[in-house]
Amino acid sequence: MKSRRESAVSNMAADDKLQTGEPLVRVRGLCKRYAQGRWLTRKKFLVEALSHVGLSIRARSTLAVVGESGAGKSTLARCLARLEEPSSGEIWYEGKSLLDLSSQERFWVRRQIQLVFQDPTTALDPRLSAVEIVAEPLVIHGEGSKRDRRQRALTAMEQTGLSPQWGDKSPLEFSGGQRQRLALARALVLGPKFLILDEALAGLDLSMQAQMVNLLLGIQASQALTYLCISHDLALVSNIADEVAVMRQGRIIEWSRTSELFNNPRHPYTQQLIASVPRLESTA
Amino acid sequence: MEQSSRDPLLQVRGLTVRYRPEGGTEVAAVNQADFTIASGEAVGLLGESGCGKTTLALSLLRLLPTTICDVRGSILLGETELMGLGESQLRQLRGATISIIFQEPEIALNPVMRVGDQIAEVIRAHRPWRKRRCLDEAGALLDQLHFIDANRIFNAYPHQLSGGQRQRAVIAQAIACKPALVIADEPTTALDPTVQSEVLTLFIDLKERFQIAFLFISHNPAILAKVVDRILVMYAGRIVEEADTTQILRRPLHPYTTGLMRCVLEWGDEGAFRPRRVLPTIPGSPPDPANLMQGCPFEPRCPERMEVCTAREPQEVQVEISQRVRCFKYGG
Repeated sequence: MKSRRESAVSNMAADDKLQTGEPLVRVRGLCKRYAQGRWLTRKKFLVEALSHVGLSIRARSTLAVVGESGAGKSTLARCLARLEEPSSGEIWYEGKSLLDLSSQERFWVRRQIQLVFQDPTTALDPRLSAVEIVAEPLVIHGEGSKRDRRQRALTAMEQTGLSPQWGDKSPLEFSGGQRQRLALARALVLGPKFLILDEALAGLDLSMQAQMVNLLLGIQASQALTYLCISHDLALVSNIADEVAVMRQGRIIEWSRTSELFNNPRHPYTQQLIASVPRLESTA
Repeated sequence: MEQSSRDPLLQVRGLTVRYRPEGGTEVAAVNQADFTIASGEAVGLLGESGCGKTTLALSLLRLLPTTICDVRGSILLGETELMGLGESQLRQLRGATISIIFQEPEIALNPVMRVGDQIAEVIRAHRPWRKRRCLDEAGALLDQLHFIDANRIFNAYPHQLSGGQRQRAVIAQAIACKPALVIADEPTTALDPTVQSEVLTLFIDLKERFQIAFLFISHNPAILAKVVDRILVMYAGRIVEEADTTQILRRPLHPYTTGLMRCVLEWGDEGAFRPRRVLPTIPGSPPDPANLMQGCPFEPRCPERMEVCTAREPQEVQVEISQRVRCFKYGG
């Protein structure tokens, strides 16, 4: 009980410190519990994947959530994208509560919040062509004529650095980095405001990763996007995030501006995380 | 090229691996690779995905299917020429003299066998000992690998362990018969950062305690910098640079190596922390080995390309005693 109160206090303190711009997304007291059963027994255990998580993300900024696997990062992302129903708590998006929306409002919110997953190979349908994949959200949202949709999909591909000439290729013909660009193009085609990147850069080689980071920063500036970047890679996060929240066992244990977190980590776990990043010593 | 005063353990000469996809054209995944690993030495293999790192690793163990792969060249392990061995001789060698650790411990372990039994199984395959003795050896090995509760892990099934514990169990399997050479193919990529640094420390420790030689494969120069003595850089199936780790960090020669080093994301020590800066990248993406152009394979992405680069492929140049490179900048 004590630790919960502690984490709540630190979050409130962090709230005061960090709120300068208007928050686009606000999360308060978010909990998610899963019932887990053992094989062949009726006994169920409750696993707390998210425990009283409080966060806010300013419009046009990037919040990174870091932590090890099982810390609850992806559950948080899925709750924010409304792919998962939280057990309790509040999620506010542009002043509206995401948890009680009419079906019409829900449709509107889905256009605004898009997700990019870690593994582009499983996220892309191999039976569709590249342009069909990118145009699919437009089909679902009933936008434009067929030719119009194709045009918008090709524009989105171009934005992410894919040649429109590749539109009719199968995703299997793309390399890993290009597939992730394709997944990003699909997320951007509806003109969203809030992009959730769930380990979207984790499977890429270093040079592809750097290219993607530059691309994401460019798109953020030109389209006024807000990012929630889920990652276990601290070096990467140090480069794209304005603020970083460290998660462990379903709780946020530290949350501050990126420079503050890296230069002056408070929580021992954060210090341990930062110390474990492999570095090239010669540049020091 | 012998950089080390120690005895060469593995000598690879002119190793070329060609894939023959059904109905397709031949693709050289590894092209004329030459390198040496001394006993007890840790060597790193650096390169992006698709450059042939894993193919090279598998060909050293002769694990590539001969039906679709054409492996040429010479692989000399100690006094034994691996290219001339039959399958049964190879089986005696694999696990005992040379072993491999893969990226995903989940796939490498048998889900329905206790971890202790799986480690003992490797020992039983190569030693004339009774089962009891093999199990004891396996238990002792887990103790040596700094497992906090080695006993529980010995009796656990893989799914009851964390990712880091599973990877340690796989490492225990790989070193169970005290092999001379262990190949580790991206062994920490699937692990969390704190666990990753623990496993890297374990590798350094093993190298020193057991005098095992390692071929450590990674796409991240910062990881290799921590564990290996010497680094081989691979691009499009070719070894484009080789140097001692300190040397390559201080002065990388090949433009590709320089580019890779710049891609390592860092924050400065003296508050030189710069978020949201545009990162240095290597433009373009690695070439498809099936349609390589004439000339140096890195030429299309190279910031320092010259006219000669499109004409032919550069030869290897020995720049210093411990550094060789394939690039026209140095006279290749």
